[in-house]
Amino acid sequence: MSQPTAGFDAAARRKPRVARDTRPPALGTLLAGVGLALSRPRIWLPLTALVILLSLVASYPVQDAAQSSFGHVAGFEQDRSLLESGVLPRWMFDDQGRERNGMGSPSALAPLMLLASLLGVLFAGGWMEIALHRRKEHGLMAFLGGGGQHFFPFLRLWVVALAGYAFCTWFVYGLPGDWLKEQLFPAGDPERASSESRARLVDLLYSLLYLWGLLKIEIIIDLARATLVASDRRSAIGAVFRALGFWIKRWWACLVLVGGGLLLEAAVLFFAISAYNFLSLPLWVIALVLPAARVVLRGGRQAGLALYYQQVSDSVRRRPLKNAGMITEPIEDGSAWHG
Amino acid sequence: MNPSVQSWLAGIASTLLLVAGAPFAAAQLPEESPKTIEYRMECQLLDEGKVVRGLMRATWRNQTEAATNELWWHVYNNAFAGRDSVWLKEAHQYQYSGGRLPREYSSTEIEDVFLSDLAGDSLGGSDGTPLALRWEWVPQAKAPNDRTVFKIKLPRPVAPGESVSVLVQFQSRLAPAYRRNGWGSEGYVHAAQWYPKLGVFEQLEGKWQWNCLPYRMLVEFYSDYADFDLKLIVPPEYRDKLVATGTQQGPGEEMQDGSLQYHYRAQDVHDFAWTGDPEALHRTRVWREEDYRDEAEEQRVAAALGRSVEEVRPTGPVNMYLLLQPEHSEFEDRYFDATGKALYYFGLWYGRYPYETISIVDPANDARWTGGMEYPRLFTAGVKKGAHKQVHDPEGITVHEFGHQYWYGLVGTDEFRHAWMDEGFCVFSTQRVLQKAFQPELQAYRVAGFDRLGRAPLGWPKDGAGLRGLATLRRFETPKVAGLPGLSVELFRPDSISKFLAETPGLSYWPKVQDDAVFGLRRAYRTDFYQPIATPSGDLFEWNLRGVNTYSRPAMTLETMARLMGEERWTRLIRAYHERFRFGHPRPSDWLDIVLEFAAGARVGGEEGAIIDWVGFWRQAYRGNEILDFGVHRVVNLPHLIDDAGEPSRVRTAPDQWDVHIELRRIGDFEVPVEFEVTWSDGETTRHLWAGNTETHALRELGSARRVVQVVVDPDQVLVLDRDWLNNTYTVEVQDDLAAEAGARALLWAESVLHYFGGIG
Repeated sequence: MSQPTAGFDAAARRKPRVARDTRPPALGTLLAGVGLALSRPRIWLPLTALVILLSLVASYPVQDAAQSSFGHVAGFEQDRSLLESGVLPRWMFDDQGRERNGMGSPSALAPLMLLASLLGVLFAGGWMEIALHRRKEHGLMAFLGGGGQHFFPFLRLWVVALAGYAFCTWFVYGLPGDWLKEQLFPAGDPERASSESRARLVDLLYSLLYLWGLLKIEIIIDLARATLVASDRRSAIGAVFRALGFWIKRWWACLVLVGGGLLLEAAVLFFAISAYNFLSLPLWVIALVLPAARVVLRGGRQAGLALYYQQVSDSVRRRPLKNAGMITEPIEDGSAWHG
Repeated sequence: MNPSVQSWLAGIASTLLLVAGAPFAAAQLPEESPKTIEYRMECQLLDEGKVVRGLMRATWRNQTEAATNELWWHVYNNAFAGRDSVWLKEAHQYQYSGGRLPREYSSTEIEDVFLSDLAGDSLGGSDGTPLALRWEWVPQAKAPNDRTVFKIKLPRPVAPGESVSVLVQFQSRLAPAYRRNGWGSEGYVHAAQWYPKLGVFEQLEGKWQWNCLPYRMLVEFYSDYADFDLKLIVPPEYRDKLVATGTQQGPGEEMQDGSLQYHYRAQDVHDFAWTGDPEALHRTRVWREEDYRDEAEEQRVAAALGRSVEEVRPTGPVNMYLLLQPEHSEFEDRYFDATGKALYYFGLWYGRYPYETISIVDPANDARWTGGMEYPRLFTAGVKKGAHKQVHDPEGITVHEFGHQYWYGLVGTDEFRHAWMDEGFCVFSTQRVLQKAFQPELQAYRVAGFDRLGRAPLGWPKDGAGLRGLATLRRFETPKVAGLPGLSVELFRPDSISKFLAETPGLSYWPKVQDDAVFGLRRAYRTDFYQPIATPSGDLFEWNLRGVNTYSRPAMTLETMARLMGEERWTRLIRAYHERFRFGHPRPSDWLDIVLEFAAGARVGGEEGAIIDWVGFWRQAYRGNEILDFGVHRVVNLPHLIDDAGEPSRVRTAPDQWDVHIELRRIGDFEVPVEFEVTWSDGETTRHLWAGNTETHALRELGSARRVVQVVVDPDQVLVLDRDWLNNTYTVEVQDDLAAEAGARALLWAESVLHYFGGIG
């Protein structure tokens, strides 16, 4: 084998030009996603209206019952603590009768929850499609068209997600969780722990583990959706595996994106509660504004995640081979071939 | 009224009553009990705090009018000696603690019984050997092998006025804490029902007999007043880590083997309990009334009783001992403060606390099932770490269990048959102390072991549903496969609209909900109570009915009675009840007699009002299940029509004249006089009386120059037993804002629920 030439040495001594890390910042992408959603009022306004409309179906019977039951009541304030203590007046018991007739809010709420969940699947597809493939679109039809395009693969993911949530619940509060408690406490009962502090700590850790499990499932499913939209594939199981792989490599960024999005939603809630408590903001204002904020933030989170996934995928595809900085120079000046 | 003027007037009234020599003023608190029994015991705690071995000399004085040749005893530690006891059979029936059984069984063995003395005669052998007595377990119909009651056959009857002494050698093995007694893993031992205890020989259903029932799950204890002398030997690690019913006689005496002997004496109590915990903190404070003085209340009570303030003022000192878990050290002040306030107000309202000590036990965590129980001069409480200072669970349980020093300890009611007489009075008194001495409680829920103020997030799943549950999105369940437990997840629990009020998600927008201690009793209405208060607790169909029928419902009844007759009468009445029956065993009829004596002539609606029929009230409240519910049915202002010439065509509307129709309904069957208040368009408010003995009542004013604006039935909220207070008021103008607020809250709740579900998958 010939020795390296002087030209090659010179090239090797120079500081290699490593390809710049083109991974996008997670938080910035999340904010970009929120901006993307916020800049499309023709989408989020109708979605907000739909959420309020669906909620009205469930809540109107309450308003109606309240109107007829304590529309003529005076001195409600002094009885409020009783209402809130669960000492309920007759009209609330009557609601069970309304429910039997299919008129009460509880019976309406069950199908509404299913509908909301399915609409959530549709909207997730819409936001991701807008973010990745229809950036110039601002209209509702394009949004719904995008959602419809991915609806059935997403629906399969929905089933996977439900199974995941069930598994997580079983894992923490079912057999494995119970087994662990049996190792820690007599008869597996924290009430029988000799120390209350220890029992509380274990209980707290269980809760944190459960929340962590739910968050992870949420992230994996959102990532799986992003892979489906970005790569235009249809297999839910394959998407879940790709999402898992992505999660393993970029777990911190995913956590920032999804966790950050959820934190933003929590912050909005906190702000709304504070506005009510300290600024005496009317409830109806919160009832109108809060859904809009939630729609935008959730849409922004989903769009941001899709953007992030695609940008990372693109950067991986564009990234030169390892040590490219060392071998390209000699090729360019041809010195490597002189010997 | 200015408080100083008020107290001055109260003082004048008090003086006038004293001068007038009101008969009540002469009543006195009994200084001591009948001392029916004397127990002298020498015991030793063995086997790492799991066994108590003892020798007891019990002397019973027959203070009745009949002779008996038997002595009946409780041995309640045997309730947990096996699954064939009455207690554990009932625990299975009621599914106590989800069907949980004791980890280990306890037992009390009666080893020997000898006659020591019968009316001055030992009846023993000529060589001085004591006479061994025959004894036997009393089989119970529900559980023939129950061993919670035994009886001794005496060689001859004990005549009235005579006494009998017996020696009993026993050994009690305590179990891990299961219910009310037992031990914890770190040395905590709570010795309750640990020795054989005599029943009560009394007249029942016209016949003299021993009142000594087996230990049942839904009842507690009943025994006679006694003097106790206990010498207790404990391992050295219990040095200064013991509290007991009695007063400790000097420091512990060290024995040759290093163990310690403590000597306790207690007089005029009907039970003796003690607790030790080597790991616990032992704290002491001295209670003095001046630290808790409420002068306005003292003057009010003095005026009502016709006594001087000095006479009614509770006096100390009382040594308060607290056996506290180290991890609960944050609660030390709260325990002492609550006990101190309870000592003060109970003493002021009912009579001074007669003992020199009160001991509070904070149970070990793995023995928490010994908590929340009362024994003379000692009670067990129980707290959870993280309790918010405005959540009064620690104070509530402390005041309540202390309250039993009065209603159970000093007034020794028969908890077998009339458990409401101690629990109901105790709850009533507890809620009044909480209302009087503490800031209003705020409602809270627990997150990560800490109290959070506000309403709880959605509750945890409960049982039910199946495939139908899944189909209706209510519950997801999987079958049990190969030994793996099934999964059961509640998806949605459609109770009623109460859902959104009772279990609103965290963003309920009700962050601070004040609770009223007295009105909070009305939570009893959550339960459909279908058995009268008079039903003995042991015969109740459901366990949760005990909480209603024994605790809150009688307390609501007492609160209603107090409000109906007025605080002044009530103060005299309940004081008289306590004074007459301190160290006694009152029955419900005694209570009714006192009511009839002190509340006779009480009226609803002032001097010209309706006299309250207390017998009828008591029949409905105590023996019946009648619901008390008054409501406004209809209130309208119709234009007044006038007929100028007696012809229909000439009928016309009179300007500015109204036909006012006010129609009230008695929705429940409970009859009691009630006032209602009418607010008119000219601003005047008028009060009216309804005898409450008809199903409807109407007030009509035809051709009135004013319209009615609002009607309120029971405007002073006297009838705490009224099931539904919202139907008690009616405004002619619709109050849109209230319904709009309820609607907005429901809308927010529904938005949240749908948002969460929209995120799934």
